[in-house]
Amino acid sequence: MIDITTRAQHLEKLLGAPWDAANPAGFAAVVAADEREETAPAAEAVLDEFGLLAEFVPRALGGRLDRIDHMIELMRSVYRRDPALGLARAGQLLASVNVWTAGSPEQRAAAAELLLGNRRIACAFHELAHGNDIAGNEFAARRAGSGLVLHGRKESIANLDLADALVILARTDPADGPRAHSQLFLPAGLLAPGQVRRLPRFRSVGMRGVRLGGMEVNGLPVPDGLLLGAPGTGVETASRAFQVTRLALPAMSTALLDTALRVALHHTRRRRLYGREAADLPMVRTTLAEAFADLLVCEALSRTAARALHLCPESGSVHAPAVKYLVAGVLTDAVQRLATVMGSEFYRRDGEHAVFQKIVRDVRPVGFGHIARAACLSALLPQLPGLLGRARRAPDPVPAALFTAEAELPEPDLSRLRLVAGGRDPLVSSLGTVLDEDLPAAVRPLAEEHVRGFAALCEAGAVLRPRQLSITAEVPVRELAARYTVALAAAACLGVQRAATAGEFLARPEWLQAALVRLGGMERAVPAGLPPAVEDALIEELLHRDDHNLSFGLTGRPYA
Amino acid sequence: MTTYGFDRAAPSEIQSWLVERLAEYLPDLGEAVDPHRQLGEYGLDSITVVAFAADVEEQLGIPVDPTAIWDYPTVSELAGYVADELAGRRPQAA
Repeated sequence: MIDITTRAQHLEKLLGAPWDAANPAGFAAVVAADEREETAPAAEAVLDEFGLLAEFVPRALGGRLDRIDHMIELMRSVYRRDPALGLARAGQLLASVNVWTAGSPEQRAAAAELLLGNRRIACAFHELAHGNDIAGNEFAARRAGSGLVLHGRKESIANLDLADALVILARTDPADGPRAHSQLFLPAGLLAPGQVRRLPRFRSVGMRGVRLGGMEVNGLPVPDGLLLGAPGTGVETASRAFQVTRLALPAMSTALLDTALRVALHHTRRRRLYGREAADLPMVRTTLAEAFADLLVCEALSRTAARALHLCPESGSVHAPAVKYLVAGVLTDAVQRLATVMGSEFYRRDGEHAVFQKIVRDVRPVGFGHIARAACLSALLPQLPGLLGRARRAPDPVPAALFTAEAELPEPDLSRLRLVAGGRDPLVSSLGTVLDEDLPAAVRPLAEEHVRGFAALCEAGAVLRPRQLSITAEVPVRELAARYTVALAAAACLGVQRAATAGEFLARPEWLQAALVRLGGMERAVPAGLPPAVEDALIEELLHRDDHNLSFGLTGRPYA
Repeated sequence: MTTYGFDRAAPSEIQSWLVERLAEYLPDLGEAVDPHRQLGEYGLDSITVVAFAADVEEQLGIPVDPTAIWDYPTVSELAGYVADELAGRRPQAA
């Protein structure tokens, strides 16, 4: 097995220098392709050469997926150059996690063979009329003799026209209820033109290179053996399997902020304004430092949650929507603030910084694609009383490997994902003992503030009434779920700093101070400023990484 | 911690307890919950099912996935499931 560092370096080398205007997989080529609503063909060829889709296939099936945190990290190399290129590939993960979770040995082997051969599996779930309410889906698979007959419409399916197979969610029981749907794993060759009408491509504002198609199916007979899992388990399978993707896709998207920050630095370090480098203006410095802190927060939370899927998979039903909610929100806001320091340059579709306007557009779908942020709060809310109650009474022990830099993790076991966490969340529990740790003096008051904030949240949770938890929950109640995500992120940042190797940037207190200040501002909805020494330390690190072509996230890896 | 105030071995008491507990989730219900009526007919949405399952799990100290409520969609059936779980008559859920 080739380790993540070697794999990431190899992929970086293949993708080449992003700023090189002659690189057919660089920013210039990516922007030109985006103008054509495509991805850069040379970049696609690189990903095939690398065998990128093998990163989504479990080792037991011949692929390279043994750690979800490493798979995310590798995908960030793709997303840093072009988020649409990344998402078009990551779309295969949406389909395949369902097959890994519920497929028969034959189905799992068939899906693995497709992905290992650089072929695509599209995920055909979405119906415009039902949004995130997949249990409302109407696309039907009716029993007819020994087979099934398909009827209905599916819209906004990524890569439908390129796919060799599809995973489809279909209604197999006309009665309503959560057992009314099943999944099918279907070779695309069965989509007979006589019974299947392709719908026109959806055009989008951002992620324009992702081909969104649709289909209208009218009486297509398919064999019964295409069912994925037992009849009636379609929604259950998706609810478990999508914990992986609802966490992994936003986690990969932190690379958008890396690029936005890189372009903002590139621009403001070269532009002279009022007799100095624009990057030296206080407002610009502050914006850059805060965006860097925000990026570290997003990666600390998503890395910890990805490892939790290995170490305490029962918490995935809490961590996945929490990551999606918080990371998508922070990324979107941070890119928007960076646009203010780009000035008019952020608006340009040409020139060397044109990739910035693409990032501004590409970041938007992070907030609603796959599942909307609002739906994530709805998913968290019903679990809050149990989670907060248990955190008060009997906090769960924290596995050290959640945070340590070179943690050994067991292979992911998707069969251990549950629909509810049973109140168990070792990550949030770690806030319970954080003040017993040997915290840097400058961090302690901030840590105390977060521990107090979480205690207040637990109190608020104790008086929640059952009828306040439904889909009709009022805004102040939903806010409690949002505050829970902030507590998770604070716990992740504290853990990452505590476990970092002495002497490294992550072991220093400044980034943690910055992270906790930013998170404190989110909880109170009032942003606070970073102390000047903290801002200086962040800017110094950022300039160092920019000068040495290192990525800006937790790992600071070489960026070709 | 278990806080139930009924005989765990008696399905009828479990059923009464579930009826009362469920009423907490149905604010506009003018009558008692009929143990033989499908819960979906009471307008219990998927979010509320998760909350109710988590609540029952918390109160009884046994694992109760929302899927249990999907598979035993009346209070009467659910009471039977819960009674079996409490009595350890079922293999532990995977």
